Amino acid sequence: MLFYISALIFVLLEVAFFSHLSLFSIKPNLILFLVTIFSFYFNFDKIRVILFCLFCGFLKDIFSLTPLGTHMFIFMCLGITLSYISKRFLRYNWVFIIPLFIFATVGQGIIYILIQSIFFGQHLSLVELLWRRLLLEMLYGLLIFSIFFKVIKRCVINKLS
Amino acid sequence: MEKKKKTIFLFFISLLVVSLLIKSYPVVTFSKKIALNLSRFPLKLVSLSFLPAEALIKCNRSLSEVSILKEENQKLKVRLMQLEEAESENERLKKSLSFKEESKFSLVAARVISFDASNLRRSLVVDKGKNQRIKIGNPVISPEGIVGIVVEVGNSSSRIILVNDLDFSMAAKVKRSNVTGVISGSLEGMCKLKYLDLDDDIQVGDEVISSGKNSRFPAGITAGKVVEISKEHSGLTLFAIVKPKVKLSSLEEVLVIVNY
Repeated sequence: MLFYISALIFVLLEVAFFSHLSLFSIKPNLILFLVTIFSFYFNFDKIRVILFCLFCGFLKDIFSLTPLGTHMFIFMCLGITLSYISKRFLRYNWVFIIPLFIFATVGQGIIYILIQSIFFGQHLSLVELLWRRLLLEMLYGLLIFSIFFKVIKRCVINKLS
Repeated sequence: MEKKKKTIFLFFISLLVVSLLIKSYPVVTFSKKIALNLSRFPLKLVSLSFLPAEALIKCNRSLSEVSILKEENQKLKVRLMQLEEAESENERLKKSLSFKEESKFSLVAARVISFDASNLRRSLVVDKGKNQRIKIGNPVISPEGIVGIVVEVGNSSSRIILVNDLDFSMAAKVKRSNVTGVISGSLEGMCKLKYLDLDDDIQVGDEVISSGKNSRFPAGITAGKVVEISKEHSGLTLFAIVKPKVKLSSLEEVLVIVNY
């Protein structure tokens, strides 16, 4: 429940607060950060991961111009992949959250391009998207990530465990 | 084993449902409309919480701007007098040519309460909606130029697709040479003036304005300035990168044209 409330707060912060602190019109992707942590932490329970990712995707779609379902699709695929990777290879070492987040940011771009091309016939270049948007989103995200991670760990994860 | 089967089943069912949602986009927009109405108050609250900090940052900058604005105001007053003279002359000439007087559009001022949650799309939400006569398709401007078009309307809030979003398109022309094209967004947050002929007269620094050829925008509203001209991959046409005149990432108020 705490994660669901955090998701709601994060999405509101993202659209109304961090838009004022955007760098080259890029704001930190807080929801993706939450999806990464959740998938890492609850990697043993895929059903829980799927449901949380669907909820986060729903919130993101509601507050965005993207058609409803786009981010639900992206986050669900990411959630399953991230939880599989962390369960199979990473165990519970929190240091691996950073490479997981980088992987999630790139993965998000790839799935978005696939959705645009399959459903809407719009062909975007991954290299262009990576250079122009995702790289900065990744760096800015990591910066904010390091600040919020401690808060999330203290307020949510430690309480759960 | 049982749980694994359950997970796989849930994953594929969700995949199917979500795919159907994306495919049936127009049908599910009503859910977005409900969310747009419900989220208005929390969004306004969060955006208002940023105001005191923003005011402090801007205070220092504003003081130095005052003297510049005073000087500019004097210049504009003189320019206004010249334009009033030109307008009255124009009206006299129109009457003599028995032109029908065109109705002037009315504007609704709205405050920006949030921006798009995704970094891949460009849109914003304003605090005015159906109750203030705003409809889908209404053009949105600011004193500097074109902002975008209304794409979703709630009772007291609306979503606007910005001029630099990939899905935006509008007929535009180069002010200096009257070369026409279609303006749309690009990934890097600039606009792209497309479908220009190889021999079209266009230069870096040219101002791009709405042509008024489609009914979305009145003619003559500034979109931006040309910063780069390149050939398309096919080599058959040119495109120009246009920098929007409006600072879209830090907009606070916009004007919606409601009866154009």
